[in-house]
Parts: sequence; structure tokens; C-alpha cells
Amino acid sequence: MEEFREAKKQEKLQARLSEEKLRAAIVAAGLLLLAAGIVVKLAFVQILDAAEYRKRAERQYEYKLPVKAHRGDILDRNGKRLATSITVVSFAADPKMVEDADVLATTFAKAFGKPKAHYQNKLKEKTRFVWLERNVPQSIAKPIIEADFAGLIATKDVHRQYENLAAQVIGFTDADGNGISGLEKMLDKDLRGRDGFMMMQRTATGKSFPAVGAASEEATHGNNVELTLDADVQALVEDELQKGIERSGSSAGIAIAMSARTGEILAMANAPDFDMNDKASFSADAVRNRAVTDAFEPGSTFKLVMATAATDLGLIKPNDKIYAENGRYRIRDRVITDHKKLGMVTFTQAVAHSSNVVAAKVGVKIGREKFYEQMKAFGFGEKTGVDVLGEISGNVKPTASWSAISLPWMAHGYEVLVTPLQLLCAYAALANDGAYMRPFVIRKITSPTGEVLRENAPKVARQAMRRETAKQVRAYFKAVVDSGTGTSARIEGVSVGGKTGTAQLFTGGSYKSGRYVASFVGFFPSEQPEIAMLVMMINPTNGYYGSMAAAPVFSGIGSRMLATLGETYRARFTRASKPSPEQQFLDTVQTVVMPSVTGLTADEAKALLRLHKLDFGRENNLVDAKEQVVVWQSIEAGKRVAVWSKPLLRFSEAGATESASIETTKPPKMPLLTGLRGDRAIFAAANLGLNVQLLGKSGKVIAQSPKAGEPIKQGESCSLTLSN
Amino acid sequence: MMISDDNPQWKHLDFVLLGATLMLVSIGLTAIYSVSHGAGNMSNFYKQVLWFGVGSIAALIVYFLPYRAFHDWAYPVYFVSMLALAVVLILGKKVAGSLSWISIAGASFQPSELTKFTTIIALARFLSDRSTDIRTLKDFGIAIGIVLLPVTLIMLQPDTGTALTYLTFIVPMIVLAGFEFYYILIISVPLVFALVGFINLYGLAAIAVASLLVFIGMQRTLWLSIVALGSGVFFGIMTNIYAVRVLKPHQLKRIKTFIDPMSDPQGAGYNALQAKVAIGSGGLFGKGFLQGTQTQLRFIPAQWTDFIFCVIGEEFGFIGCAIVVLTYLILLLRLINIGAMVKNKFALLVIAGIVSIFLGHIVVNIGMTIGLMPVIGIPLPFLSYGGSALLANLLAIAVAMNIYRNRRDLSFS
Repeated sequence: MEEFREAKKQEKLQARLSEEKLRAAIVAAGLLLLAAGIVVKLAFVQILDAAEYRKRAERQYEYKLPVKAHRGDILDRNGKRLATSITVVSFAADPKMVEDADVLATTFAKAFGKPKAHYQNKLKEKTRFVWLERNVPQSIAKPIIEADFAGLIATKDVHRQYENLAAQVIGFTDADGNGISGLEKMLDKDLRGRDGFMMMQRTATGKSFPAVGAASEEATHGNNVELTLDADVQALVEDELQKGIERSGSSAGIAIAMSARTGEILAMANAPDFDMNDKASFSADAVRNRAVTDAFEPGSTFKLVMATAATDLGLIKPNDKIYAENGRYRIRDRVITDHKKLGMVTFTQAVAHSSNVVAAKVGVKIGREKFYEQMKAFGFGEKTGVDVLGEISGNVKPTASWSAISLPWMAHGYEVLVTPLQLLCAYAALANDGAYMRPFVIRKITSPTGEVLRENAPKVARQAMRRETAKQVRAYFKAVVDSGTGTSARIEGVSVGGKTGTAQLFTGGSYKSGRYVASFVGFFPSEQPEIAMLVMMINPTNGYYGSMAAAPVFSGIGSRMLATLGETYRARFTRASKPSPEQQFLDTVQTVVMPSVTGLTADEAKALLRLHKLDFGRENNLVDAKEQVVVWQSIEAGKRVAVWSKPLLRFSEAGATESASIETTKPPKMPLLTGLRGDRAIFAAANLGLNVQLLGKSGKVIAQSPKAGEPIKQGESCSLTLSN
Repeated sequence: MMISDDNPQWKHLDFVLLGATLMLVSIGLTAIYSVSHGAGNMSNFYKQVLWFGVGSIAALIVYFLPYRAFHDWAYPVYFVSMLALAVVLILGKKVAGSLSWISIAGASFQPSELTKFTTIIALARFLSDRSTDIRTLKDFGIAIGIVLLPVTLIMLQPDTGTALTYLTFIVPMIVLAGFEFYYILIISVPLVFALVGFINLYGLAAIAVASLLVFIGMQRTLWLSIVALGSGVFFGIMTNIYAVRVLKPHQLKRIKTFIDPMSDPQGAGYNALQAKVAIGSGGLFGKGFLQGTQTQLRFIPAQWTDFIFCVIGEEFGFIGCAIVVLTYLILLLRLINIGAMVKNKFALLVIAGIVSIFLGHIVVNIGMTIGLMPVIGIPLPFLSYGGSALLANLLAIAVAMNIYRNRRDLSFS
């Protein structure tokens, strides 16, 4: 029993022990399970999803910091910057991260001349971001950036700066530097360059620094664009246009100046304009480049087509008489009226006084086909192809849809829609002996290193009329300014050809009474035109005639162009291959007076002879054109000879300046200057070292002293009497 | 020295426990070094090294204390530690919104870390007393009271995360002391059901069926089981209705993001997401020591302390994490092994308490970093920066090693 009890007790103990072991084993197993669970979950996170988390981590701490490319400049024809980009820096601070607000405030106060307290107050603000200074020039910002203040945030920004000229042509960029209007938009790809980037790392607290050893890419500067515009001309055109608008009470105005020979646009102005550097001042109406985006019924300026076609067909001669119906002419049920009642007039007079009646009559004579053909030859109804944004083609109806009155109405400028630039280009073709030049604004595009990537050269689009026709038609338009409706377009010192135009403003499908478009299109100098120019006033209220609202502006621009640019203007617009104004003058002369060239160096002699439209031959060898002087000329000075005669010249021996000087101790003789145009004579006299005194203002030389052939000395005074 | 036989000292030394502990502390110091490097300030690393030194000396003293001292001084020490918690509330300094710290001779100390173990020892003492019968309501009440006192004081700081850790050891300890697990189940059924019902009705149905099967298997008092299950289902449905009908959307969202942080990655879930990104981006082998971008660029929240595991995960990868988990497993299994060796009830309960609280910390902390648990701010034992916790944990290990050293004397109850 005792044994049994002992065994029972032992058994119980055994059971208890094994139960305890089991319990411990269960707990251990539970622990193992837990550990396994954690490890499995770890494996999911760290092995299966590792790539995703890695990407997520990279997104968090690494980012591409774009490095803005420097946008290219837009330059005028002389290299003056019309639009340029400057890098500015903006400073902000995280007041919480700033370690020494006092030093920071002192630095800023010193750099920007503001009181220290101004910055201290900002640094006390309870935000994480506060602007300290914005758009600071790089030169001022650099030392501050380099000081590397804790909590200071510096951001670089590129600002577009404009000269505020040709606003509607050049356009502008948005805040991010994307071109959104004008050339800035059209040439955005060229100008913008290529942005680079830097790989940056940032901490959770927002501190950023360049990632070491990470890939980066430098930004590439944008290309520069050089325009045909001349900033000086553009400026005075804008100024005169604005004045003209105020004077005439117009709602808007357009002025374009163009080199008739090349098609280069020198100025293209629209008013009202806007401050290109103040984006808030932009309004859709002011941003439009009306010179190409708007089309108008031109009115009388369109008589160019009628006059050209009629002359080309030989229908009419300048002095042919036409009856102007006393200013009222009925065609079908419509009446054409003239502003000035005329009776029997010559065709020249009819054009000069802008007779609509005569234009209509002649137009009918020309016939539909020829008239349509001539409009097309002038490029009406299609885009000129000018390289600015937003050009429209206007509207010229095909002959099939013309009514019975279309032709006479078109003849005096209705039933067609033309853009100001189209009209100007047509007149430029007239000015350029009939060769229609494609107009252009972009001269060339160069890479940042100066390499020329693209270049526009003058291009003849087509021949709008024959050369002889152009000459004749120009005479009609010269008469307009000399004695007709365009007298107020005269420019002092230069003869002008052109035409006024007054048309009712056709808007929204109907004519608004009392609303007009006044214009003047012309060219100068009329003998050998260089510049073609258009001035158009929209809705003038103080006198709506072209002669009152537009022609004076044309005159004002032209005068200032001549006065301010003078000789350089001539040099600029006249290429070496083209005759200078002096030569143009001499062109009209068939015989010239042989000047005295003895005593002059070969170069001087050559130049003087060229001016007189003379050539020369050499009797002996010419080695040094600067040293050898003329000792003998085969044609005596003062003798009248045919142009481009070839007098023989004998030069002093090369290297024998000594003997030559002995030979030339004979004083040079006074050349014959009488009969020469004033400026030419002054030039020749000054060339001989004479001290010129003038009597009279302009014209030809009618008397001279000393007389031709008299010996002269350097510095001797010489008086020239001019005809006017 | 209370050495009962003439075996050399090292025979009594538990090399497994010591090795695992040193291993974990080393890994912790490595991670703290890395974080300090990223912050550009090494002072925290040196402080932690210093605390390790202080902790080691304290642990050495505890290791050589006579075993009886723990039993005999359990209540006075508990009393003093509760006093410290009270003092913190009056004199403590506020760190991150909680009054958890007091300064002693220039060093900041967090008493609530140490009181975890004084509470365990006091509870073990009470439960192991022959006069105590946990099945009586009075003794059950006293046992709960011993734990609720520090919990209340810590809640007042307020430091909910730390307070919650005290709940990890109470259940295992009273069950081990003879309290029927069945009653624990009965008590927890309404609570758990209420929580599950709040989240999801299908989950409620599933857990109800599972509980029913467990109760049938246990074959206990039928009516009690039915009442527990019934009230559980009732509470579950009520909280569900409460969640849907009564709570405002933003309140509901706050609770949902606590349970599932990933539902709000920008706000409440930010920490949880960052932790996961750091660990996940470490991959199999990690980015290398001092090479972790999330660590070095300080994306990981509280990476010194609560999220130190992320640093290991990022820089040493899955391998590093697995080593940490394995080392913890060895440590805990060894502690359980020691518990199985001793027959002394007090020693057993102390070991059980230590295992429970370590396990609680480890599972919650690692769980929250890898998205298994909601984010609760408690440190990872031996690894997280924090001198008080390191000291307390080293002392706990010293207690366990002291028990191991005296295992012969404790083999009989």
C-alpha cells in the first residue's frame, strides 16, 4: 500500500514534470512561430518588394534639379539687344533653420541697403518660408550664396529683359521662360536652348545638396537671333506713330518701314503697345501684330493696281485726258463720288487728286483678267511669307464671283481685303523697279559660339511689273506728293512718291459710318527708292483722310530717319554694288567735265575720276597706289567728255618719291567745279586741301573761285556759289 | 559571495544569455553610430556607450547579489520605484510632451523603464507567497492592483506606449500562478469582440465561430461560455454600429489609421511608411554600414529609438534583420530554458515576467516597423538609444543570470 502510494506519488510527479515540459515546449513553439512570422514578413518586405521600396526611397531623397538654359538674345541688325536673358537670384529663409539671424540680417542690410530690423522681423516670423529679397542680380547674390548661411534658401531664376521695341513682333515669354507670343513663340525652339539637370539629394528636413558622383548635364545656351529691324529706326517710328495717334485721335495705328531693294523690314510698329517688361500690362488687343494679322479694305492706296495695269497695257499715257464726271459717276445703281470734283483732267492729275471716278473708268478699261492678274502679281490675296507670327492672306475674290460693279470698285480699293504688309510690299515692288522682294524680319540665327546656323538672304519673289512700267507709275505717285493729296507726306531734302488712302472701316461684316482707315504708303527717294514705308491709322477722329491722319506721320518718320541717320543711313541701306546718291545724280548726266588729277596719288585720282563717272588708263607702271602721284593726264582738266572716257595717266616713278616730289613742286591746279552738284563739288575741293566757303544753300555750283586751272595751295580758301 | 559549491565561477555563468545580450548591444551601438553619423553629431553614440558601461557595472553588482535579496527586497524596491514615478510627475521634465524624465546628477533618467522590472519582481513575490490564492477575488484584485499602480502613474505622464507594455506580463504571470486561462478567455472575449466588431463585421463572425469551437473543446461551464460569447457578439455589433453611425468620419479615420497606418501615408501613416521604405529598400544584403540613404538623410522618424530596427534593415538588409530576430529568439528560448530548470515559483514567475515583457517589446516594435502592428512608441530592447532602458534591460538579464547561477538552490519548490 505504501509502495503503491509511493508509486502513485512518483507517477503524479512524473506527470507534473512532463506537463511542465510540455508547457515550456508549447511556449517555445509559440516563440518559434512568432519569430518565423516576423522573418517571413521581413522576407516579403526586404526581398520580394525590395525593388519597389528602393524606388520609393530614391524618389524621396533624390531628385533632378533642372538647370535652366540661358535663353538666346534677340538682336537688331546692328547687334543691339532687343530681348535678353539675365540670371537673377531670389533669397528666402527658413527661420527655424537659421542659426544666426543677427549675422544674416546684418549681411542682407549691408548688401541691399535696408534697415537691419527689416530682415530681423522677417526672420522672426513663425513660418518655414519667408522671402528676403527677390530678383537680385547675380553679382550681388554671389558672395551671399558663397557664405552658405544655415537656413538660407537661394533660387536662381532667368529673367527676360526687353528693350521695349517692336513689342508685337518680338512678343514675350511666360513666367517659366516659354515663348508665348511673337518671335519668342515662333523661334522658341531656337531661343530656349536645352535645359540641363543636376542630381540632388535632400534630407527629411529639407536640406538639399548636389549628389556626389551622380550624373548631371550642363545646360546649353539658346541660339541668338539677329533681326533686320533697326532699333534706332524702330524707336523713332514708334514715337512718331504714337504722336500721330494722339494727334489724329485714332484707336490704333500701324507703321512699317522696309528696305525696298532687299525686302528687309527695318521697323514694324503697332500702337497701342504694352510694356514688355510688365506682364500685367498685356491685353490681347495690344499684343496683336496688326501689320500682318488684320486685313482692311485699302481704299485709294489700292489704285496702284489700276495705274500699274493700265500703264503696263499701254492703255493710258500720263497726259491723256479723261473726264472725271465732276465727281459723280453712276455705274448700274451705285454712285462713285470723288472727294474733289474734277472735270477734264490728265491721268497724272487724276491719280494725284485721287479721282475714284477715273480709277473706276480706267479699271473697267483694263478688264477683269488683267486686273486680277495684276493683283496677284502684287501678291494680294496670299501671304507674303514674312517670318513673323500670325500672318493672314487677306482676300481677293476670284473673277468668277465678281459682280458687275466689282471691277470699278476694286479699281479704287474696295471689295478686297489686304494686310498692311501686303500693301507695303506691293509699293516696295514698285519702288524696286518691279521686283517683288519677299519681306523678312529674321536676318540670321547664330549659335552661342557665333556659328551661323541659318541666314535669310534677299529674295525676289516675282516680277510684279516691267521695269519701264515701274518708272512711269512711280512718276504718278511722285505727283501725288508733289502736287496732289499727298503733299503732307513730303520729306525735306528728299523727293517722295506715295499714295493716300481713306476707306470706311469694314468690321463685323458691315461698314460703320464715321469709322475710317486712313493710310499713306510711299517710298523715297523717288528717283532711286531705298525705303518703302506704310502708315495706317485705324478710326481717326480728328480728320479721317489719309492726307490728314497718316501722311504727316509718314513725313515725320521720313524726316527723322534722314536727319538722325544721315550719311550712315545711306551707307547702311546702299550696298557697295549699288550706286550712291552722288552717283545717281551723275547717272543723269551724259557728259562730264574732266577734273585735274595731277598731284594726287593714284588712289585719290581713281576716286575722283570715279565720282565724275570717268575711267582711266595707265601710261606707266603703277606699283604703289598710295605713294605714286599723277604727273600727267592725257585729257586736259576742264574739258567736257563722255561718261566713262578713259584718260591716260602717267604716274611718278615707283620708289622715286624724291624726284616725283620735285616734279610736283609745281602747284596743283584748281579743277572745274562749276556745274557740279553742291555736295559733290565740296567733296572734290576738300579733297584738294582747300578751305571751302559756300554761298547759297543747295543745288548746283554756278560759280567758283579760284577759277579752273589756276594754281592752288593747300589750305587756300575756295568759294563756291550754289544755285539756290 | 553566496556560492554553494566549489565549482569555478565561470561554470555558473550563462554564456548563451551573456553572448546574446552582448551581441544585441553591439548591433544596437552600431546602428546608433550610423544614425549619429547621419545627424553629424556623435554625442548620442558616446552617451549610449557610457550608459552601457554604467549598466554593465550595475548588472555585475546585481549578478552577485544573494538570490534571496530579490525576494526579500521585492516590496521595498517596488515601493521606492513607485515613489520615483510619483516624483517624476512633480519634478520631471517634459520631453516630447511627456513627463517621463528626471535628472540625476546631470543625467536624464526615465524611471518607468526600471519600474517594469520592479513591478515584475513584486508581482512574482506576491503570486509566489504561500498565502496567496490567485483564484480568490481578493488576491486577484491585489495582483491586478500591483500592476495598475505603475500603469496609472505612467498614464498620467502621459506615456501610453510604455504603460501598455506592463500589460504584457500580467496574463502569463497570473496564469502561471494558477489562475485559470479559461477565465482570462471569458474576460477578454467581450473586449476582443468589441474591437473586431469595430473594424469589420465579417471578422466578428469569424472570431465568434472560432471562440465557440474553443469553448466547446475546453468543456467548461456552459452558461458562462454562452454569456461571454453572447455579450461578446453584442458588444461587437454595438461598436460596429457606433463606428458607422455615431463617429464622425475624421474620428473614424484616426482610429483606422492607428490600426492600419498605410491607409494614410501622408499623415498618421507617415512614420509607418517611412519605416517600411527604409527596411524594404535595404533588400537582401542592405546598403552597407553608413550607406543607408533613408537613415543618413534622416527620413526615418525616431530612428534613434523606436525605429532603430529600420536602420539595421536598411544598412544590413534581410540578413541583418534575420540575425537580430534570431538573436532575440536565442535569448528568449534561453530564458524559458532557465525557467524550466528552476522549480522555485518566485524565480519561475520572475523569468516568465522578463520573457513576457521582452517578447512584448520585440514583437510590437519590430511588428510596427514592418507593418504587422500599429505604431506604438516603445523601444527595442538593447538596441534602441536610451540609457534608462538599456540599464533596466541589462539588470533584468543580470537577474536572470543570477537565477541561473543559483539554479541548484532553486530546483525545488
